[in-house]
Amino acid sequence: MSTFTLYAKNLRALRSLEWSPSGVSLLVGANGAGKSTALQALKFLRLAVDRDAAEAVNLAFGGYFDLRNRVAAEHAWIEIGIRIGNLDLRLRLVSVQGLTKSGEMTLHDGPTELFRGAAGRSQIAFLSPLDPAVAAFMNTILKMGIFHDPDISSLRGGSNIAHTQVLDSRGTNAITMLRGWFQRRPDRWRYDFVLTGLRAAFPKLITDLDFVEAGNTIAAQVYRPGSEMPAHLGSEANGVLTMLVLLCDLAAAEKGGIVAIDEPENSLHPYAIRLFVRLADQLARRNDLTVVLTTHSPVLLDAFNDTPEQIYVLDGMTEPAPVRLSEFKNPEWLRQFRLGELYADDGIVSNDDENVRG
Amino acid sequence: MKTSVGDTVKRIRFVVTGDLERKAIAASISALFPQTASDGKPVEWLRAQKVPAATTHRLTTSGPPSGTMKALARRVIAEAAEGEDGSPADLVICSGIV
Repeated sequence: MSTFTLYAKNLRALRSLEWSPSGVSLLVGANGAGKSTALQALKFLRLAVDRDAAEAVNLAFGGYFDLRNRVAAEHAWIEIGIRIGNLDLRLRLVSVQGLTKSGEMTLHDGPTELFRGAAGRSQIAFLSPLDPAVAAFMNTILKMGIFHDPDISSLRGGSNIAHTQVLDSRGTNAITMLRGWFQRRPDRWRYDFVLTGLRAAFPKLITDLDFVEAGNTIAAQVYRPGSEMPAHLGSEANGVLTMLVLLCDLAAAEKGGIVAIDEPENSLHPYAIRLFVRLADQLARRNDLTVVLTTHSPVLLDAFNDTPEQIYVLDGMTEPAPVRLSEFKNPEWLRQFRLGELYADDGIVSNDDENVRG
Repeated sequence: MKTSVGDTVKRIRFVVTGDLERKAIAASISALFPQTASDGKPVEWLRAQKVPAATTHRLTTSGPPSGTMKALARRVIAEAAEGEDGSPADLVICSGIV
């Protein structure tokens, strides 16, 4: 498993983040606490390694403006980094009057500096052939899957036939990916995982899937129980399409990989949320994945009633953040509650943060 | 029940149902009482915990307690038995307009 540590300093709401999740982990916090920013930091790292820092800022954070933490000094660096084993990749950005002026990437193996310079795959490509460990490290970063806001509206019209390599962060090419997995024997398990999950989540709605190609678009059809003819997937409920994208998010991960999903609960019935967590846990165990989920869902938190140590809290005060729930609150006290109920009652964190601490 | 940190201090926790009580009740009530307990130990007034949704809750005399009231009761018992911060309070007072 790629046990990793994500770092961020002075990045939006994250004054100081140092987070080492494992297995399936939840990240909770009030609105504006920095949950989505933490996931965007992972996306930024992937894009900075693949492309360059400026483009990564645009794609991961939507631009340069307001990137620096508001209480940080005016010329303080914004630092984002990831460590796996001894290898440590960090990017530093300096933001002046809301604009990011420059970026620098460093790569260390323990105390030894392997690289210092501009971000981008071409800049560090010469390192990879020299050291298999560095190549594996970079590959893990490049293969990180960071997903958010499934674009259900777009998916209803199908997926572009050409987008076959990497699952888009909003799942717009999920149907193309699914068909590719169906057609390639080594990837067939991914397709089976998604279909099995859909059947289990929606036993009254789906028994099988099929694909239809028209022009440069692939659409999916679903077979319902008792129905001879398939129906267009685009006509299915939001929850069905959301679940399909979420299952694809998991299935797309490579062994030992990292998957991050922002608020997966949206549009899902509690039954489907519980099932999704169960499937994520099974796949994480089978393929040594690290799966991190941000959430406000009491149902999702309830799925972790017996493992509060897998829940991390951004409380806006602790530095470095986040802190494990089992350290944030007395574990024996936590055991008196369903965690979802406690969260819903502002007993863990709240937008009204005076109510957070004992 | 666990021993409290209260070998040296007596801790009092309010569990309340409204924002005004949460913000003010500990400070207000503490001003009216001595700052030491009968055994001479100092009293610590902990920040009140709020359980939302109970303020406008309708109480009935028939039937089992509602989920909202059970949640309130659970918070009181948990604070007395375990303590949110790892030490149970010596006195838990549930205060709310229901």
